Amino acid sequence: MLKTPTPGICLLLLALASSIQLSAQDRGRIIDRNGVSVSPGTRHPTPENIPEACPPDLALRESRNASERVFLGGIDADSVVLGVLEGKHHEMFGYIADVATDGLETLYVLDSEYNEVRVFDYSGNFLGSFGSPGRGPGEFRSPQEIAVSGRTVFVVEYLQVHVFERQESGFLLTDSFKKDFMGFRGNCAMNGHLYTVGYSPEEEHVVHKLTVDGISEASFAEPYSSANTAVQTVISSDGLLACSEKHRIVGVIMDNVPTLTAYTEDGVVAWRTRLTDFRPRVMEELIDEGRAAILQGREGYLHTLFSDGADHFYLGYYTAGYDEDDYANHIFRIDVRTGKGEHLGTGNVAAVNGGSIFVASHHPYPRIIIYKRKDAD
Amino acid sequence: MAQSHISPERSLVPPWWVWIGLGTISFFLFLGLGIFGIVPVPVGLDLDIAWSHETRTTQYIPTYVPNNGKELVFVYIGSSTCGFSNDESLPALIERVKVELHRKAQAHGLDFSAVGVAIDWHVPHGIKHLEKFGLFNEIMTGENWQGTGARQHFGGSLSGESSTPQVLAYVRSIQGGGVERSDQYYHESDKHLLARKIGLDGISQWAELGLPMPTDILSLDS
Repeated sequence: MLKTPTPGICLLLLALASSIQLSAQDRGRIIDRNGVSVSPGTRHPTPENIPEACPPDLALRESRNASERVFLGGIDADSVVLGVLEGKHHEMFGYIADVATDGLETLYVLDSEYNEVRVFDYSGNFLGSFGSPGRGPGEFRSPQEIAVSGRTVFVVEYLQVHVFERQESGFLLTDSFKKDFMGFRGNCAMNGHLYTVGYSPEEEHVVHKLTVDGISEASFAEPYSSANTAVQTVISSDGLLACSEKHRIVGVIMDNVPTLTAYTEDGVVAWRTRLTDFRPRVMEELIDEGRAAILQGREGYLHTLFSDGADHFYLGYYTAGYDEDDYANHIFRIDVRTGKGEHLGTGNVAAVNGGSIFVASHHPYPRIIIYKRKDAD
Repeated sequence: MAQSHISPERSLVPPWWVWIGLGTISFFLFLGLGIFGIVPVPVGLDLDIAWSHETRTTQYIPTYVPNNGKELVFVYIGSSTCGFSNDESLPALIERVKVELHRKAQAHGLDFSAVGVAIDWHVPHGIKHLEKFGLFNEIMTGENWQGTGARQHFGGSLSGESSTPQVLAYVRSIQGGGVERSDQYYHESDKHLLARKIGLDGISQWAELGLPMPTDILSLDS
């Protein structure tokens, strides 16, 4: 999954935290004007919310010369660029919100500006598009993520999911459903199911297994623990997911919590690995104009987690601010079966499948670069 | 008989160049007073002193004529209560975008209009906010996100992320319009989004790149 943080997201999180009206649960704390219990100065994630590695020695560390080791620099590959500065509608991207691949050599690019999905093969040939702007079934207004399992494509918006089936003639909308608990990001698909991150105080868990009809079949993974329910809701509603269809494993990492947990599709923990060098950004409880809020710093940011369709997850995080010049984007490759991983270096990668590596860039204009490894065949 | 001491060379009549100079000064003085409304000018005399088109395009000046055909519409959406919408660099940036888009529309043979939307509850606050962004053909404010301005530009074929500041560019066709024609004569086509840029960075980057837009949608033939 590919995500670029924007000030808008921060504002939305702030607004969400500010707007939740709950009764006070702890009389030793400060109660804001909405009745929310706040502990000003408390910084998140708190130590008790960072799970230990399992087995204990599992860890992902940045290599010492990380800043000099560029992931794509050492790869012998041919490249194809999708996207032009100015051209026909299907040739130029507006905003690349997410990309996904399947086992059929198909690349899906979710464009949240033009509200459609563009479909390409791995050689960069445009195969078609589906979805359109609007608020009805199969229409998008600000799609966030795309998840693919075989011929089933899930396009996820805030609180809304559209399900398409790939057919010989194109992509057919099969369902469109709402889920009140869904967050801003954190989706993957396997075996015809959508796994999604979402939380509300009424929910016991944060990862939900949904059928193509939107029926919840199972849920697992503990929410973030805080006496401040607003804090608990905000942090538990945001995370990254990756599905390994081959091994039937779901990788889960909650926003700003430096532990990647692998679950079986039934929700049993398979392994946990710690990101030892990741510095979570400071999330501090405060009262803003009488309301509970979370001040978010600009240090580390977990932004990428996906499966390569074979034996690995790829995980990426920024180590500093969001500005182009002052962050390093670290990439790790983790064995789905064991949780052991390696630091690949710095760079930018949106998807890996077979011998192809997909990079999404918005500078100077939105593009996808497909690298085809020469040693892949 | 006394002799006259006045020689023909020392006549009291000023030389010809003085008359020409005085005439020129008077003309421009009268013209200037007329422009500023200090002295009356003949009815129907439309005084329009202007630099050439190329050198005056730092500000968008709307023309109030009926459009009849394909139109490029630019929309600025901001709010008096949004910090980023009130960034001091934004008004100049929006003005620049308006001017450049107007020029692009003309180059493609399209009509152009600029719309300002302020997401505000309080109408005077919204108007005051939009005043910072120069001239528009049309403005909309009031009722915050439930207002017509918001609903018009975040729904249907213009559906998109609800945040400010942002700019939209879209094309539509207006047919049947004319002076003093009522609504029943008008036909508006579907709107096709050309670009939606969100946030200061998004708008600024778009401007730096020269406001790229899909050429096939922008084309007069499409």
